[in-house]
Amino acid sequence: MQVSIRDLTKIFKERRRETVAVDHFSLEVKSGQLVTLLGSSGCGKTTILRMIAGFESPSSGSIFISGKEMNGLPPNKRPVAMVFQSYALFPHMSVFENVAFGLRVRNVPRKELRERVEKILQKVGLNGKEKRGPNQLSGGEQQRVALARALVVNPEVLLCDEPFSNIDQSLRIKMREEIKRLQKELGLTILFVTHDQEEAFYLSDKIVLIDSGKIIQEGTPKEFYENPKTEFVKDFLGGLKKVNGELVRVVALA
Amino acid sequence: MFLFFLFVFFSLFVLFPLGHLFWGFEKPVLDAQIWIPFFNSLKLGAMVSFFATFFGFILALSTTQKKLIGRKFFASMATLPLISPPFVLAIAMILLFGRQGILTQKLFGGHTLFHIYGFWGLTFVEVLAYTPTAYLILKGILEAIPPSLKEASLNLGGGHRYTFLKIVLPLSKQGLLTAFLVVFMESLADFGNPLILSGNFEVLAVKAYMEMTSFYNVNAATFMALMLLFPSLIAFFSQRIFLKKSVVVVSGKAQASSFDWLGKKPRRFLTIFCSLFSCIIILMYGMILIGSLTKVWGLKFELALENFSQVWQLSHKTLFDSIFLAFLSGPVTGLLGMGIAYMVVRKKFLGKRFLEAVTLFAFAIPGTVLGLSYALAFNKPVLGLPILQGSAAIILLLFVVRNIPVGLQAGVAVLNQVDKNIEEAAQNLGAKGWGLFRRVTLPLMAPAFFTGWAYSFVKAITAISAVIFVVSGNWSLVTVDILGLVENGELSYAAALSLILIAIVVLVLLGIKFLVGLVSTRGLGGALRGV
Repeated sequence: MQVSIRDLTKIFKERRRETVAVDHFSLEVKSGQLVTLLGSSGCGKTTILRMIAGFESPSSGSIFISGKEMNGLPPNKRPVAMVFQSYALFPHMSVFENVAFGLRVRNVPRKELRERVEKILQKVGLNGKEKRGPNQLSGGEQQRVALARALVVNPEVLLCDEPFSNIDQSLRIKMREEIKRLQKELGLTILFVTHDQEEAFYLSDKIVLIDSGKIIQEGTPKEFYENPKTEFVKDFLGGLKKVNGELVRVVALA
Repeated sequence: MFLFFLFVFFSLFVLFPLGHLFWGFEKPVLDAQIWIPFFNSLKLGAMVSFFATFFGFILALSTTQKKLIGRKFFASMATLPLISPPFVLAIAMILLFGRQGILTQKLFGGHTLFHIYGFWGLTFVEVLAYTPTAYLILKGILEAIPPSLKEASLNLGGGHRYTFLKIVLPLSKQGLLTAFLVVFMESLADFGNPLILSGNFEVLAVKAYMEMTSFYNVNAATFMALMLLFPSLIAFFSQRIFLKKSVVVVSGKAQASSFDWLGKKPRRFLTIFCSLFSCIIILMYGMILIGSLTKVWGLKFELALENFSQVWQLSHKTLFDSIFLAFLSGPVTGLLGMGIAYMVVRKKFLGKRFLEAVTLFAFAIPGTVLGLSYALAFNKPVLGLPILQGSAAIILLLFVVRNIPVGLQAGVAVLNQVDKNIEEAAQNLGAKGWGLFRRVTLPLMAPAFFTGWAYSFVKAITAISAVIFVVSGNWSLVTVDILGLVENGELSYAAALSLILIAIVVLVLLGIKFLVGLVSTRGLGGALRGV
C-alpha cells in the first residue's frame, strides 16, 4: 500500500471553540492509483492533504507512506510533493530555477540536474521557456511549472490541492487530460483534492466523497454511478440518472 | 477646484519656503570644519540604519511566527518607542548612565563606565528609537510573502535554513533596503537625541540649528541645511526606485495558514532575542517612570509626587497648546491626505505624478530643514498674509505639511482595497463628482481617515525638529519645553513631563480606536468589511 491513513482526526481549537475538521478518516491508496478527495469547500479535504504533507499535525490517527510512519516527521523529510492551489511559484526565480529547487536541495550534481529539469519541462511542454519569470507566464503555464517542480523530485506520492481551480474551463479540461497522461506514463501515485465532480469522474481510479470530515462513500466512478448510497451523494453528483442503451457511434467529444 | 487649491497650497507652503534656503545662502562655507558634522551625520545614519534594520528584521520574523509565545507582547514592545518623542530614550540613557545616572552612582561608585555623550551613546539611543520604523516596514513585507511559498520550499525538501536563505531573505531584500534608507533618513533628520547626547560629536541637524539660533549665521545655517537635504533626497528617491522594482508576487488565492515554517531551535533564538529587546525597552521607559517620581535627580533619590503637581502649575499652558494644535492638525491632514489619495488612485489628470511626488517630497525633507526654511520665509508678510512667525498657524501648517504623506499613504492603502465596482455602481445609478466622493467613497474611507488622524496626532505631538524653529512665547510646545529642561539638568521634571505626554498619546489613541469601532458598527466601516 503506497499510502494508508488510519483513523485520522483533526480538531482545530480557536478561542475555546473546537471544530472537527477531519473525523476518523481512513484510506488506502495503491501504488500507481489516482484517488480523488471530493467534497464541497470546508469539508476537510484540504486539511487531510496538508496533514499528509506535514503542514498540520493530526490530533489523532496516523499516516503511513510506503509503510513508513509519517507522524512527527517535518514536511521537508517527507517523500511527497505538492501542487498548490495558488501554484506557489517562487517569484524571484526563473522557470528553470523553480523546477530545479528540489534538486538543489538534494545536492544533485549539476549535469544530472540540468538533464532532469529539461526532461520534465519537455514532458509538460514548457521547453524553451526556462529563462522566463513566473509572472511572464500564462495561468496554464504557471500550472505546468508547479507540476514539473513537484514531479522532478520523483515523489512517492503527488499531492494536488485543487490545482485547476484558478484556470478557465477549456484549459482545465486540457490539463486534466495531461495529468492523466502523465500519471499513466510515469506510474504516479496521486492524491487529488477537488470540489468538481466532473473532474473527479474523469480522473479517478477511486473517488472518496467527504462531508464534514467524514467519508460518505468511496469507490470507482462506475460504482458511484451505479450505486449512489444516499440522497446526499445523488445530490452532490448532480442528480445522477442511469440511462440504459447502447453506444452506436461517437460524433464528437467535449 | 481642489487641484488648484492643492497647487497653491504646496507652492506656498513647501516650494516657497524651501526656495529661501537657496536664497539665504550666499556663498559656500569653504571652512574644512564644515565637513565634520556632514560626515558625522552620514556615519551615524549608516550605523543606526544597519542595526535598526537588523533588529527590526529579527523582531518582524518573530512576531510573524504564529507559534511564538508572547508574540503580541513582543509586537507592542517593538512599537512602543513610536508613541513617545524619540528623545525620551536619550533622557532615559542619561538617567541610567549619565554622571548622575542611577547605575553610575549606585553600581559603579560614581565612575562613568560608558561615555554616553558621543557617537556610541547616540547610536544606541537612535537604534532603539528607529528600530520600530524598520520593524513595521519589514513586518508588512514578511506578511506579504504567501505562506504557500515557504510550504512549497519545505515540501520540496528545503530545511528551515534553506527556506530562509533562498525564499524569505531574497523576497525581503527590497524591504530591507527600504527600511535601511528610511531609517537613514530618520537618523539624519533626528534632532532631539543629538541635541541631548551628541557631546563633541557634531551632527548637521543640531549644528544648523545652533548656527541659526545662537550665532544668527544664516549663511552657514542654510548651507548646512542644504548639505542635510541632499543625502535625504538621494535616500528618498533611491528608496522609491527600489520599491518599484520589487518582485510581484504571483499567486492565485493566498491561503491563510497556521503553519510556522521555522523550526523549534530558531524560534527559541528569536524568543531570547525578543525578550532581551523588550527588557531594554522596559528598562528605558521604566527609568522615565522612576525619574519622574524622584525629587531631584542626582541629589535626592527619594520618592516624590512633586514633579507632577509642578507640571500642572508650570507647564499646563504648553501642554494644552501641544494637544490643541496636534489634535487640530489631525482632521486637516486626514482630509487632505484622503483627497489627494482619491485623486491619485482614481482620477486621471495632468500633473498627477507631480502631485504625488510633491506630497511625498515633504516626507523626504528633514524636519530641521523645513523648520529653518519656514523661519526664513515667514518672518515677513507673504502675499498680504500677516506675519506667520510666532503664530499658532505656522506650527499647524508645519504639522500638516509634515504629515500629509502619512494621510496620503493611509488613503491609498484603503482605496486600493475598496472595489472600484462599488463606485462604478454608484456612477451607474447617477452619482458623480463631489456627490460620489462624499456619499460613497468618503464613508468607505472613514477608517483610513481616523487612522490618518490618529497617526498625525501622534507624529505632531511628539515632533520637535521642525517646530523648534517656529515656536514663540505665545505658542510653545511641550517637546520644546522638555528639551529645554534636559539642557538645564532638570531631569526629574523632564521625565515627568515626558510621561504625561506619553499618557496623553496613549489615551488619544485609545479614544480614536474606540471612535473607529463606533463608526464601524454604525455601518460606515461595516460596509467596508462586507467588501
